[in-house]
Amino acid sequence: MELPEIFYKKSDFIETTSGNKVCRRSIMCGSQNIVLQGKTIVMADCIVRGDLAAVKIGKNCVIGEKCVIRPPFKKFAKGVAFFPMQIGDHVFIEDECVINAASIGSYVHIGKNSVIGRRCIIMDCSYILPNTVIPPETVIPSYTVYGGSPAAFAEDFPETAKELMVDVTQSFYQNFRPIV
Amino acid sequence: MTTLLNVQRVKYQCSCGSFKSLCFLYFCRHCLKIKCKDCVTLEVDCRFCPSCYEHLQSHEAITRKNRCQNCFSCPSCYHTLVTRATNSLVALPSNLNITPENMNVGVDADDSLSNSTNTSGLQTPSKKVYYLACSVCRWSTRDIHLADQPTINSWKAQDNIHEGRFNELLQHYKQIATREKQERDRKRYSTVKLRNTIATSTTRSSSDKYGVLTPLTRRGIRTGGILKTPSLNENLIPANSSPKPSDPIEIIEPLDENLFLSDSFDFNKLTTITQRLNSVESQPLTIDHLYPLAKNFTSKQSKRCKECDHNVLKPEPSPKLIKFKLHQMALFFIPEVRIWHHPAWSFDDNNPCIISVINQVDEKTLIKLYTLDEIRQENDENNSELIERIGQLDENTLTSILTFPIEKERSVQLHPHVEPNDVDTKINDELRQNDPKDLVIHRKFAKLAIRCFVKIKNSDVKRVQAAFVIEHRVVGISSIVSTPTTANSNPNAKNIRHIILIDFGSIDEPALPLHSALV
Repeated sequence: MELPEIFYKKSDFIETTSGNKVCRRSIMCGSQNIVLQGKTIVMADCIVRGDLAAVKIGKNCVIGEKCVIRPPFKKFAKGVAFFPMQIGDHVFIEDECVINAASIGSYVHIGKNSVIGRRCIIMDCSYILPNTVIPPETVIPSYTVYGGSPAAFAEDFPETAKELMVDVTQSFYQNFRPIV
Repeated sequence: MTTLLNVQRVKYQCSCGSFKSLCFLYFCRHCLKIKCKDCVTLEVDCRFCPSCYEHLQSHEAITRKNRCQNCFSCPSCYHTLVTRATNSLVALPSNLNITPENMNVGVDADDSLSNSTNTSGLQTPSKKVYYLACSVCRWSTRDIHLADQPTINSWKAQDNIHEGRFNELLQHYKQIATREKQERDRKRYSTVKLRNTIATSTTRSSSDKYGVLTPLTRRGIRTGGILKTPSLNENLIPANSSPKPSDPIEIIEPLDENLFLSDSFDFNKLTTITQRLNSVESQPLTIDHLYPLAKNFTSKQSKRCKECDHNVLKPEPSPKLIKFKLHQMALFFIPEVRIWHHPAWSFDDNNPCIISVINQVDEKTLIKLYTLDEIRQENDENNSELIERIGQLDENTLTSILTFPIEKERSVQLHPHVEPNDVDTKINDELRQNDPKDLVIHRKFAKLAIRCFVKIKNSDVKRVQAAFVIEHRVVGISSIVSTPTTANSNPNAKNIRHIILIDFGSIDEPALPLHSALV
């Protein structure tokens, strides 16, 4: 099915020159440490913790409502240290997710209400089913579907993942329009 | 994204007859047929650990029993175990046999303390030791009183008490397989020359009784035995070395009924069936016999058409790369159909629906649309197979009839696939002028919106499902190398037809909102 149109009030979103659309109701802590590469949509009530460490989000990403993006930390004998977080291009994060991953590759789809544990590595072209809990320091390989709590391999993902994901994120951006 | 696009709603018929979503299908450019994952043979290209991405050659992976030496799964919850570092006192009687009581504070990994302070406040030299712990269920190697290791990842595999017996049996069966094969070949071939050729294939197939290396073996036969897999040398096989037969158990002790009633029996300490089967060699009965499981390797596979034996998919050999050397997915050759709009369903009249057709091919494509009835009425010999397939479609599957607004000649040109940045409106405008206005209601580059009508057959219908046939031209690869004469005369270009089954959803599903482009 084609993606439906989503309308927003123009006053609710800030559109940057590179095409990013960030909701005014989202909380971007330490915005000097947050990089959005372009055409990325950050929905309402998101929290991005750039004050802890740098967060780099690629092109054509979608961050759903009420998501928390928090760079991962690691305990040392003398305290904790936060590590920068990287999210690739064409990543679709659905609503109410908590992301603590060290890196998320490109063309990744994270289902609704999932929790990605700290220092996880999600490789390119993978799909996390809704309501999944990925324990800390897990590696999710490419072209796989992971689901459950704790997350386990569910099935193989089709080899057209890249093309589908590009299509989804681009048409989501085109269908995300201000009310005229 | 498969859930976002609901790809399971529109299914294409594979050459084997099953219906699958287009994104899961392959397309063989030699047979010009759709292939699903059941119609291709798999060939393992590279093996790697899904956790540390260590990449091994196939023979090396086989010697390691396809298991990683550095990564372990929790035997209790099957999640990846994490190595934890801690400090132990050097003065301890044995470094390797430490219980939690005589440990210092267990800190997280990577701290490089070489000295630690004991309770009396004196500095004592300490040594770093490692143990494995699960971050999900908190199981650790200390739970089973496994000694901490002085170096990282020096965990030994659990001894298999049946290993000797297995090796003995394996040797025996290999010998039998070789002998049987030799006898069969001796009967079939008489010339010495032929016998020599077969000898190589004999040894090869004896090492692969289960067909894992079938494509490799087949290629080996074709290339005259260039590929040789290590196997038993025939001359070294002793003639009669049969292993000791197993002893049958004649008397099985009955289960003591009081066992479950006694206080000494603790259900919480029993392992589950899955836990037992995961360590199949030891099959621990109680949880204190669980042992870390070495991670199984995963693989990248290339896929080969079962019919013509050509590759349809070949990934890059490196485990981290997501690219493909050969990537013949059906999505790249066949126009994709999606549901764009449907109204709230009514039983009485035709429900006007809109479907979209998307071209992923880099050149202009002409598509023709047919209803199932039109195909049935065609009395063409070439079409008999398609008519037969339509006849096989279950009446319970096709709960409604799909028709198009124009009666005949429903052919539409599709714009070549474009990246959204390089737009050239010239071809788009040109194509728009030639469109049949009743059929095509919207056109934007490689995407078309097509109007159709769905008539529900009767009032008992629960799900609205309909099918139609699409025809388009594909250019395949010809195996015959011919001199290129003219650009248009490709010997393997052909018009092909597919049956597309659309599931519009449940009968009481509300109408899909009409996209502003379609108004």
